[in-house]
Amino acid sequence: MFSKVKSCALMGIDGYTVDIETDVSNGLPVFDIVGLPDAAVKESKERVRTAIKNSGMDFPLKRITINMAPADTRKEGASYDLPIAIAILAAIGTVKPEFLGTTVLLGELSLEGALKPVKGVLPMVIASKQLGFTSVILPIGNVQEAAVVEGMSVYGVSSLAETVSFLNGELEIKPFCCDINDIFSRHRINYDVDFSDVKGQLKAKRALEIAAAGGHNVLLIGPPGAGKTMLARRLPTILPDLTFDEAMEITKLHSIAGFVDAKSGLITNRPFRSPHHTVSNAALIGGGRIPKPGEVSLAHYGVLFLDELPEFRRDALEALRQPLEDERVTVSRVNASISYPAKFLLIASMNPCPCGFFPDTSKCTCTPLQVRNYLGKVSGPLLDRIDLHVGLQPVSYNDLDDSTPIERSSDIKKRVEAARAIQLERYKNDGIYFNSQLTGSHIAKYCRLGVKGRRLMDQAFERLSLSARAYNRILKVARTIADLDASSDITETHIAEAVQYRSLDRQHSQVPFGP
Amino acid sequence: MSKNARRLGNDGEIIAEKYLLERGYTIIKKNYRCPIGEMDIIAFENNELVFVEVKTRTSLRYGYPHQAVGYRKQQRYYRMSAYYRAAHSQYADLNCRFDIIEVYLPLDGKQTINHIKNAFSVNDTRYY
Repeated sequence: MFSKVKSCALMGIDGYTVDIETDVSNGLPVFDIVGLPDAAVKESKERVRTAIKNSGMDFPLKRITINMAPADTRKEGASYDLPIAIAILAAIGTVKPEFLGTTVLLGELSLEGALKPVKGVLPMVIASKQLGFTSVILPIGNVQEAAVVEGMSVYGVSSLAETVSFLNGELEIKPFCCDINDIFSRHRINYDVDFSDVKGQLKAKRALEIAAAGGHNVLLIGPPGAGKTMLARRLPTILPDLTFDEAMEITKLHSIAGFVDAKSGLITNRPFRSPHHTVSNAALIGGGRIPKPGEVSLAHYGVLFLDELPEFRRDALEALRQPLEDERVTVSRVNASISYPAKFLLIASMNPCPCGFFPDTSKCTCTPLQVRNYLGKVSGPLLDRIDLHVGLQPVSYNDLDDSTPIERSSDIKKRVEAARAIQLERYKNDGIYFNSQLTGSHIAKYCRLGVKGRRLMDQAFERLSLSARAYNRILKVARTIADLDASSDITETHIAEAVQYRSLDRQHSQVPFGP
Repeated sequence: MSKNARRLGNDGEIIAEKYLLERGYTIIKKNYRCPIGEMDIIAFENNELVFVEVKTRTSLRYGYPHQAVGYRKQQRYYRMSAYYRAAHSQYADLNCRFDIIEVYLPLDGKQTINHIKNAFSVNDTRYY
């Protein structure tokens, strides 16, 4: 009257096995679940009872004890409904136990016995495979997502009754297979925006091209209506296509958050996250009693767009500093300390002053103090981590009226991909992919300057009173510009262009310049 | 408790007992008393121990009979069933069930019986 069923749980983005041990014995009819279940798991009692009854099977009027091992980690979520139901049915002999040892079960039950999709399937299936399981039974709605893991037999079931007949060998279900290349080609969205929509703003476009090529962070500063948001939204269109490994990692994170589309299963496009400026610290970085990934992790390998940067809460912005530097966030709570990857490209936009028109004195009504306070909302350390500061001018009538063809996103993307290819080749032994990931030792190795370049750097360092980090970042940007140029050396032209993207360092060190 | 209420209750229990016997139950004990309280009928069916609470009503003015078996009464039944099983070791390894039998005895018409099988189960394990 004992049975054991395997299920899976998540700790951060890694999964571990949970054994559902069930004992059904005579005595007072009690249904007990032990092993630190949270509220959703405790409530599964009622779902399991009614689902078994409504699937035409008998729920045993016996003493049922369920233990979820390991007993010392908290179990949460509704994905244990199916394993618990199968464990009870196996303990009373309704389900044959043959396959239960090598199969992982996941799924939420509805009262009628239908199975509903659950969150975090992809990381759990990956973990199951690593732990030596060969097959997984899960709700049909999660099948696409799970099937991208190779070497696992993924069985999608739609109801409890179907699961029981499948386990008893009365019903044959083919393992679900998917063609990964097909998923990539079918679900790669064609963006409905394009850089050719943006008239003028050539300087900003160039900066975004550099950002995309080297994975650098960008800050767009300009008056209202200059096209900051428009430009930022078009950044994903010039980023290189995702590789399969990147797609898997993104999908894992989105799977935990429950954002994976049931049709495609795999996230095939670079995420573009643009949280509203009222976003809380925990929502941005990740948090909760058992930490969940925040916006920075959901933007992993993609773009995090912070529109109206100074309007964000100061503590939220400051919390960005660690992920920007380390490319991952570690969230510690009493229950768990969890680390999520957060390798994203930050693009932020802001106005230069509260009214938005500075330094156009004919329109700007702000006092110098107001301007300084406004800029001061974005702290120096954060600005330091943003490689490219781009000032935008209002679009002129000539630009708007210009009907000469504008460069399309696909053309820019080709240049970006060429530059990325150079970087991948250069860093193939260093475990990094693009220039913004360069560390101190890498910089010494890959960003050597000539005599003229050093002289220019020296001047810039003194004149702009740069920090050591800003200095390194300029070198990284210069490296990217050289790569876009297909030049193996960093020349003074490249440095000069890189230095002029640090304009806010200058503004921060003194009272804002006049018109 | 008034004399009438006592008599009504007894009538109901006799009707319920007859009803169970007709359906093949074995009556083990009626009005089992223990330090925790009293159980109306303890019966036996298909290797299952059935603890029955009988509720008799002459009208539905004060709600359905089963509504009168509240949480505290249910808890008391668990404890009494545990006590009974401890005291009678031959029943200790049987499955148990808690039933409610509603007996409706209107003053003018004919009686109705409603048997609710497995009417409640143990959710709160503090009491046993």
